[in-house]
Amino acid sequence: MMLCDMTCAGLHQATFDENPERVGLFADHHPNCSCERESLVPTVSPGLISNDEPIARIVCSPMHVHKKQPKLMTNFFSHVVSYGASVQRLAHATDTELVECIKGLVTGSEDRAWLGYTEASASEIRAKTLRKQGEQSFSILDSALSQNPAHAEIHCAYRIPEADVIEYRHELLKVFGGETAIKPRKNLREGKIWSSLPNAVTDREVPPQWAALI
Amino acid sequence: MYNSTALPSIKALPVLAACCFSAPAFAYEAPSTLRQPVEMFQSSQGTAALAANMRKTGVFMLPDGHLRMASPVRDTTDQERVIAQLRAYVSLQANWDGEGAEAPNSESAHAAADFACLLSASAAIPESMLHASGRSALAWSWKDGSYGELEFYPDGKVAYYFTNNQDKHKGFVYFDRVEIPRSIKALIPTVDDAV
Repeated sequence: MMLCDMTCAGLHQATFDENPERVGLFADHHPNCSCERESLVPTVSPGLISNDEPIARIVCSPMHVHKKQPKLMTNFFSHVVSYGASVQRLAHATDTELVECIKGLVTGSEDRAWLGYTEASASEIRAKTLRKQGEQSFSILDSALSQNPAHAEIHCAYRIPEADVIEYRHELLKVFGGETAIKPRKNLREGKIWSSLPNAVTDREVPPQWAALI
Repeated sequence: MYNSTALPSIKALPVLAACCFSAPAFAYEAPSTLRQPVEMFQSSQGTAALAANMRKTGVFMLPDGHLRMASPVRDTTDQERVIAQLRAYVSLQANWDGEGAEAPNSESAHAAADFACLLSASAAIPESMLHASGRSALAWSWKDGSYGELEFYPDGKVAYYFTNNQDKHKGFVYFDRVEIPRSIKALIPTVDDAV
């Protein structure tokens, strides 16, 4: 089947984890954020993403943080124009799923540590209109995974000129509170997630500039 | 003790700067006997910027007119740290972020490092960054919340975006790796403005 004939779910299957053009293809073939109205993997999805849902992105890569200050860099959202930026739907993620998700992210590489998370509501993400009044700039797709049903991803809603990419990443970071709006890791679910993580995660060394924050 | 290394002449200063001796952060307090000649140079020549650069690079003019470099053994400056980070990106593999990032592009990383190398002593030192596209970037944050970023493309293009929350400047310029484009130079914060 040609990509242009595919449903949102079909395009998801054809491009997930494989095609860095994924976000652009969604924008081309399903414009106006139409895939927000469809679960990409309905068999495991907890349902469509409502406007009042809190959306979180886990901070765990040293490559995404400032080297001297406890701040996020805009590359935290680089994937918003390629594969889509992975986020968690906090209203649907169970404690166990969050623990497994964070464990997988951190243990995937020796240089990672769980530093915290950022949070915004789905409505705040959808309210961003950078190109023209009333036109949503970012979409949040329900891309549930079998082992992580609360998984979702943020896409740039349309193809943008290369000269605009920096601005879009920066604006999305601002939606999540900006460079310094990182929530301490022990705040997530009142510390239950932190206390359930194995030592292989909690013993990870944290950059010194984060010591006061976490 | 500060060791001294003889340097050829004052004409060599721009070359030294291009070779990244123009370290922006002064890691130690120079002894007054070394500081004094800089002040003399500053008042006699009237080129405050050059004198300031000499102070920050650890290059001093002695009373006999010779240039000296104090202490080749010193802390790494912020400028050198950023350049080293950019060069280190090249050693990363694809998927360095665990989310499918492209392998770092070496042309982009080296262009960004060359750019950082050319920053004047009065310019704020940016933070380096690697995007999932494999392209390197430099970013500045101002005390007033303004933000600026440059992303280096392998073909010499540089995407820029600077915003102070009222105005924004964005687009592309070409960077020849010899001189910072004038339009960008005007947007870069000074040491006093940046966070």
